[in-house]
Amino acid sequence: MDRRNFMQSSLALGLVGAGGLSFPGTSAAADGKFWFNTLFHGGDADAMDAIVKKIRDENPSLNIDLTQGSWTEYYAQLYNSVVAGEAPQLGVVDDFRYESVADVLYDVEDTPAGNILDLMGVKPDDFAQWDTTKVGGKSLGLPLDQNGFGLYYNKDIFKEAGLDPERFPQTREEFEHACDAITKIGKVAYHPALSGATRYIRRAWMALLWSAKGEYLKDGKAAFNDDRGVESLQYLVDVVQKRGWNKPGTDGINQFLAGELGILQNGTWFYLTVENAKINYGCSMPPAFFEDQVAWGGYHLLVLPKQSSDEEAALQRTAEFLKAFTPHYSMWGEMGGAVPLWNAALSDPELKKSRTWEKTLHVFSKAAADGVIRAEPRHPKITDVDTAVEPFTQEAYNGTMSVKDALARAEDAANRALES
Amino acid sequence: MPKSKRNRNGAIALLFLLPYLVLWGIFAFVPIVYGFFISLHKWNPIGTSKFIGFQNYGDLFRNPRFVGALWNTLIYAAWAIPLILLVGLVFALLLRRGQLPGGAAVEAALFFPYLLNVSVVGILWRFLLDPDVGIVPYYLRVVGVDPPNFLNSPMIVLPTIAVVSAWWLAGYRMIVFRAGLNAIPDDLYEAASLDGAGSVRQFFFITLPLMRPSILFAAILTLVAGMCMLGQVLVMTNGGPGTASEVMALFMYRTAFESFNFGQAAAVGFILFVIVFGVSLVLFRVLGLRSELS
Repeated sequence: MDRRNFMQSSLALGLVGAGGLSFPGTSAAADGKFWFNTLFHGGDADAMDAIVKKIRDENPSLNIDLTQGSWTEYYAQLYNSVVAGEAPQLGVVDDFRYESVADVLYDVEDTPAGNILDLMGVKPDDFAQWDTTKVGGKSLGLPLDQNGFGLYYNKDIFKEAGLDPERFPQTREEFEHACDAITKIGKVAYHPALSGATRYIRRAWMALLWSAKGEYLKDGKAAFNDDRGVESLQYLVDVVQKRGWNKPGTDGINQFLAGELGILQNGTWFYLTVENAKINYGCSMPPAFFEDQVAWGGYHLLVLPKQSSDEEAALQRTAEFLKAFTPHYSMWGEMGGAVPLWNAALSDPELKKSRTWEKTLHVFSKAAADGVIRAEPRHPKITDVDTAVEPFTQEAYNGTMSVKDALARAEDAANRALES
Repeated sequence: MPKSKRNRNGAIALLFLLPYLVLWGIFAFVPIVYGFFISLHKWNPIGTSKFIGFQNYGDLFRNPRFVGALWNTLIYAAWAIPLILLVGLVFALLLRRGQLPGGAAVEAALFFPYLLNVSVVGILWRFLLDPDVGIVPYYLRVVGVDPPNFLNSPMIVLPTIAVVSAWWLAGYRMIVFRAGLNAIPDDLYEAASLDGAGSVRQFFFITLPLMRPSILFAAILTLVAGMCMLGQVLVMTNGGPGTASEVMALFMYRTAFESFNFGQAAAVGFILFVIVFGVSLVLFRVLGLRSELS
């Protein structure tokens, strides 16, 4: 091959290569693909994979491109993908981040292709808790599930500690007695905050704050720095600083999976992980630590990010996919572990016969129905407030700052975030 | 040299540089200027952005959390940069002198971590340092030492991440230093030995001066890696405990992608750029690339 031939071949190969390059967003829009991007990872990602596989089998004409796995950068990707005109047709958001990305989402009842519910052939009443979709009077998504924290406990450790493994403590006194009994046998009694990450410590405290009838935000300002805030945060701090039920800086998930932890606060999504770990476990809601029985929780919403081109066709495909998705809400509950927010799924006898229902979902489902699971207040700056607050709740938990100082500084930082 | 020939040479030099300059302009200069432009606005990527002058910069320096992040970045850099360079240099010297048995295996083992993604490095070390199931605290307990909670202690979290970074990055610096060492002619060492110079004098008067270009290169790489470090804290501590390991890059990431305050995040990025650029200029001055070029 002489130099000229080499150059010509290289150019041809380059053009062919460039032509073959595809980016998920643009190619999806151009070639009729439907791009569904979720923030799930772990067990719930497996569940969504299985559902989409079923939908693919049932609807061969739907060319679904499912991408999952990102969490921390998911909202940045979602926002930027709309700005860049490369957005997925369907996404999933947590309700506490819902308002911060509201600008980049369609009102599902008023899209350029019309009302998505009409295209799907469903009504708002078919969904449980339709009101969770509302932002400023507009429905910016469809309810997918209600998730939240519960207490997973190791039945073998309960037995060893002389406790009834089939009955989880129902009052604060019983809970404290159980933790002391577990501590006595040399096991770690309780981890209130999953992996111990800052946000989980804050969420554990928020549930206690709500239990003490305290408030996080009120009239657009931080409202937690009062007696109820102090009392609730002090209780959380005492778990590791005074009662010796655990130590700060530990990873509760590692402890539980290693069979060393008696009680772990974790989310609905922990179901598949704990099942796979082959631990003899039970699940319950926390007792009423103060006045009310409360667990931290939230919602997942299916959202339609704004499209830059060919909006109608993209939205039609989205409606087609969602219509195919609704019969699988039960499967989402069964495999993902969260309470599916589709009325037909909630009364599905198959779901109630499942192991998920037997092990965890009946607990979460009842807690959701009873209003025990409580979501964070909706505010466009809630993420900034949470980010401002959580270093201080963690410092209090670690014992490097007093509870009063932590709350005072958290209040100051939260109000600064709200005013900025 | 006549002026016309100088001009011609200059034009030819510029032609040779042109492909690089075009790429540098597109991928470095324009983004920096655009980033600075964004930093002067209350930036709304999907609407109208409002020009606010240097307000983002003022707000940042009034925000104790940003000042803390700046301070944390400097502390981390002060630990990580010397550590990474020193480990790389020591192993490069040992390997050159053949003082390490199984040198090739050591070299490969030291370089291997560099091939790993930062997420893998972060997750791996989070497990290794876990107070309950981690190997490092386990062996410390075995030898009778009460292990600290490496990633949950405000005092040691940044040095710990610096050590992890050294484990991850020192191998590549070692390769750079090895290349620099190999470029030094053996004759110089032979002549110095004949003149009675010991290994210490040889190191300070031959090795170090002749390694300046590779030291400069490795130092600037490490400076950028140190000042802009994000992945390790994001995976290992998420800025905690409290804000003890919240560095500027993490603060910028949160400002941009959690708060969607792109104008202020761009201001953080520009401040970071000015710091890295300023320190790089000092390094150029101190390590004397000018003399190498001439």
